Amino acid sequence: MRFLADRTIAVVAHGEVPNAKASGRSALELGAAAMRDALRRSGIRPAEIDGVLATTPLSEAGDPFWTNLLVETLGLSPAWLQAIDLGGASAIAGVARAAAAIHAGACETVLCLFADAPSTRYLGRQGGHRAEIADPAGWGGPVTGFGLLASVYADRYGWPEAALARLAVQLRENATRNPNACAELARPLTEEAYRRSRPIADPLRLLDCVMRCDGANAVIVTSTAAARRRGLARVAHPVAYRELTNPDPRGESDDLLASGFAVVGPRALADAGLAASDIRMLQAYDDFTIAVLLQLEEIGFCARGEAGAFVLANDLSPAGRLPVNTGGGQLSAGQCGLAGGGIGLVEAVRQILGEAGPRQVAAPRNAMVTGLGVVPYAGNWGTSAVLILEGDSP
Amino acid sequence: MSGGIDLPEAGLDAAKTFWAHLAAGELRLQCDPGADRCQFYPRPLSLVSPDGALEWRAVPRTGTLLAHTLVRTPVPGFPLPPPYRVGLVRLDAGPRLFGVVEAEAPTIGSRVALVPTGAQAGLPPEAAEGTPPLRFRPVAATGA
Repeated sequence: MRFLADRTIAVVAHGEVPNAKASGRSALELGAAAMRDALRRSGIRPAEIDGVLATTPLSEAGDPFWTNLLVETLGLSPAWLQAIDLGGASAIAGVARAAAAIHAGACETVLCLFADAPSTRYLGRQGGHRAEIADPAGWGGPVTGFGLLASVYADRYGWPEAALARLAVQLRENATRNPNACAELARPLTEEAYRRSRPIADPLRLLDCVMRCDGANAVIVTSTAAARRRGLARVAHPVAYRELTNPDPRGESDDLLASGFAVVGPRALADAGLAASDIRMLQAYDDFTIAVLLQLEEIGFCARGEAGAFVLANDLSPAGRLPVNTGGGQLSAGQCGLAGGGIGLVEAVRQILGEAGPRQVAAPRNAMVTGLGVVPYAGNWGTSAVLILEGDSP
Repeated sequence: MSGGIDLPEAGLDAAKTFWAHLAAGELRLQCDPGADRCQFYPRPLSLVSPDGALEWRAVPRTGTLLAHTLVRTPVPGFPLPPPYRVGLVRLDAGPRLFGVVEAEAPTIGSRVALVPTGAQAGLPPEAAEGTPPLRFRPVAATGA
């Protein structure tokens, strides 16, 4: 997508509501609040939104007309309307699709809206191999999948417990400076408390896993020309995006740790003309701590088997050389269901616009945001996606 | 019910056939005879050649353990109480299977075999009730 590297697309606004456990609110209500936040920050009026893209919430699963209901409820009249179901990769994949639609002339200004309330109402239900093959054989959900991957990592390289503890503690520290983090999680954590947390899917512990909550977030994407016309001076340009789904379609690889990130990470960096060492901050999809380490290796921040040493050797705090998940990520802000992938996206935009307050990264010239979506049968994950954003004056 | 396994009413025919074979005592996988390749989970087409025919081929129950973990929270409808160990096994016939692993501290890379249950073990189908349908146990490595 050359037009991205040419900086013809701009993210001009971000919106977010605080994550909350069992909020009692619906995805529509949360989504409306996130949209209002984004509109207020940008001065964009609802009538100017001519494109809408939204994730399908777990709390509304089974409604086959979700995006229509959403725009009707919000009072929008889009010329381009798109649902997206790539799990945790949906938010950044949504920005890329919105950019493509703008580039193709289908619309000019797209609201990408991610809202879900699965800790209030969970209606998700998966068919196919999940219901017919895996569940009858004892599958315990995504934690089983990541427990299996973790066992492979532990067997091959040794379990990087010290690095995982360091990461878990840092993300909690970041969350204490994020007013949108879930209240239950926005508290300091000690490495000792991490080590004492109960096993969930060995070798994974409770504090290696996300906590499900309710929440919503949004970005507004438009053409750089339209942003300039509107006088929106500070923007984040999506300059590179790559995704890959089902990278081993015939199940031939014996390496359960090899993922699509080994393909899309280097490609996205090449598209942006950057090396991994040029990335100013990483907002990594973090449904599990080990997922962050796997991505560091597969994308190329360090060699395979060395992510533990990398985490221990580098300051990943907002003041460090490679800040990671500066708002606490999903691990410490909460996973608002299928809107969870938007947490890293919104944080990256916020940082690049210089609006991250007490956790602001200095000279935020760029950010890599990753997404990881859907647990397949006997593999690692379905979709791997990488988005690189740059500020106006890198 | 299909082979003692509760399946959604709209389940894939191929999944029903797999479980029915298993309940009858046979581990049969879909195989594309042209490519001599088996596939799992069961699908409505060959992953090698979408227009190719598929046959259900009886395959050895043996394989290699690729990964394992403990399930520690109850899974609705599953007969075993937690904690129980599960794993991924690369069957000698090619595909990866997910199932229960009946071993205390198994080693990744070790040899395992699928345990016959019910009719597979020469018992009446009721004997499969309350038993996980896919269970692997360690076997001695064949001296190769």
